[in-house]
Amino acid sequence: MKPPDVTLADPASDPDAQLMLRVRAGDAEAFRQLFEKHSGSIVNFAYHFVGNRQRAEEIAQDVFLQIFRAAGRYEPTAKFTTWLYRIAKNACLNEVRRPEHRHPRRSIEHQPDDERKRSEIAFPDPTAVPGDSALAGRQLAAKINAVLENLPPNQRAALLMSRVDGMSYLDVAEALETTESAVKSLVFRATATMRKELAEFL
Amino acid sequence: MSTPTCEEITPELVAFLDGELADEEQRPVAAHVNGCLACRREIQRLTKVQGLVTALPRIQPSPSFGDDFWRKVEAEQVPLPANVRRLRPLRWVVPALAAAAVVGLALRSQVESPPPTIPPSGAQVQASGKIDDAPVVTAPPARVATKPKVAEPPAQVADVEALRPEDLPPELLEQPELFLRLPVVRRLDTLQYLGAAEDAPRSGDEAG
Repeated sequence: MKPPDVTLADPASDPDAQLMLRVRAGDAEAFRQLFEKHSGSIVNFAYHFVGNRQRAEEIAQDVFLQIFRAAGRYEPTAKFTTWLYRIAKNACLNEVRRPEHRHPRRSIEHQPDDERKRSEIAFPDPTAVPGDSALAGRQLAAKINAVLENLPPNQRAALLMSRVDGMSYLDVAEALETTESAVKSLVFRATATMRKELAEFL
Repeated sequence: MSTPTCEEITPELVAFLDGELADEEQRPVAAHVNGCLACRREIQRLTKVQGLVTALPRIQPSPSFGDDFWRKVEAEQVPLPANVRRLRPLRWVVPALAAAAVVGLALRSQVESPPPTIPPSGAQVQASGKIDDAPVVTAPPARVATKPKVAEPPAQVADVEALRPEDLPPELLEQPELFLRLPVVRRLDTLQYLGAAEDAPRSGDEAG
């Protein structure tokens, strides 16, 4: 496994951890900065995890409320983002384990028009979609969402963190409270499943 | 060192593509892939899959997302009138002094209350206070009746609704630590006011 990047592993060099220390000291503006910087990513992570925009936004708000409540006890023992994603992952797991979690994963195809306008319905990278029609892009997105939904939660979390959020395996491991080797396995198995299920699009 | 097989290489391919293998792990994978057409094709497919996942459409939070969140944050903090917000650091004092007040009032009421009826000799008093024939606990001697009667203290401000922020000493707002130097009765009045102030805006917030 790749040796950890020392500078990234050092919380003291993490500007977000520094902001969080200011939050701990009662600096509301620092908390606002953290929210503005990361809330969009958490909404998207939750959206791809639970497949429902409204719940994703509620989860993201809940994640930042948890951070707000825990600010007084915060200790920068890890990167802020790994802590943030750990809370987000736990919140998403709680959501999908709820008996009430009956929301069908809403594909972009089935979003209301106003909601659809807010989304980028086509893949931003045209070469990523076989053919260049928007319909093909929507079908593919719907298929990917369906495959994502059926992935075991830890595989789903690892895949989203590493691929969509661009986190290193080390950071994903910290967020998932597991080892880098386990993350490597989780990401591989998730990718292999996607490769198998999306064969018709490849 | 033997050359790894395709089966051994396959689980490494995604980490290989992600650049997550250490040099000593990456070299044999690269060497194998360079000489294996099947693994090169597999890498092409995995790269495509990775591209699809990476390019998943991102959503924009709804316009009310931020406002809704800050409302929730605000609800986490007990809303107080602006000019008494600085007393918040002293909130730990409230339960402590409230407990002390309860004890004090209990003692005072014990002193001021009429002597309890002494049960007839031989009757027993249970914890519930009812007289029962069953001999459980012998009634204590009428200690209170022997205490001297305490003069009625002057009536204190009890009308919490009549209290206003301006009723609080201005120096208290500037230096909350002076709170502890207030006479006990005044402290209790202040606490009563704060309790009312904390309760009132909450329901208003929900309504608004």
